[in-house]
Amino acid sequence: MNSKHDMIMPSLYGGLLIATIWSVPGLNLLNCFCCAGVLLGGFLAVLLYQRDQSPESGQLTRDECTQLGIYAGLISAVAGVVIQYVVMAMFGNVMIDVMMKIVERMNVDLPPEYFEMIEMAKASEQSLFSFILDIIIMGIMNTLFAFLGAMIGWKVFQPKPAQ
Amino acid sequence: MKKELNILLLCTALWCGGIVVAPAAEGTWFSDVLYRLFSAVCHQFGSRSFHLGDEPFGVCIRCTSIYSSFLTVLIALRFSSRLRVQKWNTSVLLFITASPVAIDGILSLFHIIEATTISRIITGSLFGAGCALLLHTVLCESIQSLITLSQRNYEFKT
Repeated sequence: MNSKHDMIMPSLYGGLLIATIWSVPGLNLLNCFCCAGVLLGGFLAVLLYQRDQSPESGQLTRDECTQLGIYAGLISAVAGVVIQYVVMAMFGNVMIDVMMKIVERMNVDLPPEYFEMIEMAKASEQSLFSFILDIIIMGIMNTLFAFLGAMIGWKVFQPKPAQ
Repeated sequence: MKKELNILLLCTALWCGGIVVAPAAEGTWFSDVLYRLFSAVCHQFGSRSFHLGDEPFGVCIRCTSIYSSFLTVLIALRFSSRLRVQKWNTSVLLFITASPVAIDGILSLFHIIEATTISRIITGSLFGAGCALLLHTVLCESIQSLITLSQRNYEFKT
């Protein structure tokens, strides 16, 4: 059986994928499809963990997938909020403007609300309270959906019963 | 497994209820909390959401369809033992149910074929139903594990 240590890297990669998709304007459109980015992160954690398994480490179990999904969700919540706040602190609204120009150049179908939402996000004040609240909300939701993604991963990669 | 399925059903019903309660309780702190929670899982564009009065649902049309069909299939599974024991090919089921929602979204995003309310409902419902068929067993097993764990903790404490 793999130790918990072996779960850290797959969870980290899964979590960082979710965080990146979630915090980059334009890329976060992927989450419009029912949190596809978050589901994908949980799935990726299971995929990477399963790929690294050796015959000695035993078969993949549901509990391991559950843990991977939960870890990936928690990591993504902290990393996502931190990335967003750090980028905002370092580059201000420049980064958002650059990403929005790329989105506009792609000529994708977005309702005016999307651009209003981005403008509101740019104008909003960042406080410690909103930082903590964001981490809590993202922690709950990302953990739930990354867990579901990991469960899809479990269904796809679960060991076949012996004939 | 029925007890676990009931718990799963209850949780899903509460989740779906929250989507409708958010606009129904508009103006209250509870509505704000619900909208904020659902904002983490959906874009919440008013033009792409069902409305209750003047207020949009907690999530968009596609997400509403996904969650409501997930709930509907869970109800069907609760009352149909034949459906419960049915074995599905995971990869095939995932491909059949997830690809329409992805294709509909991508085609619409790049102005190739405009997504409509009907297409969002159909593709979303298909994906939600597929997820329910795929995940109900494993989610029930997880609930069972949680119950066993909490019972063990309770016995340990007493």
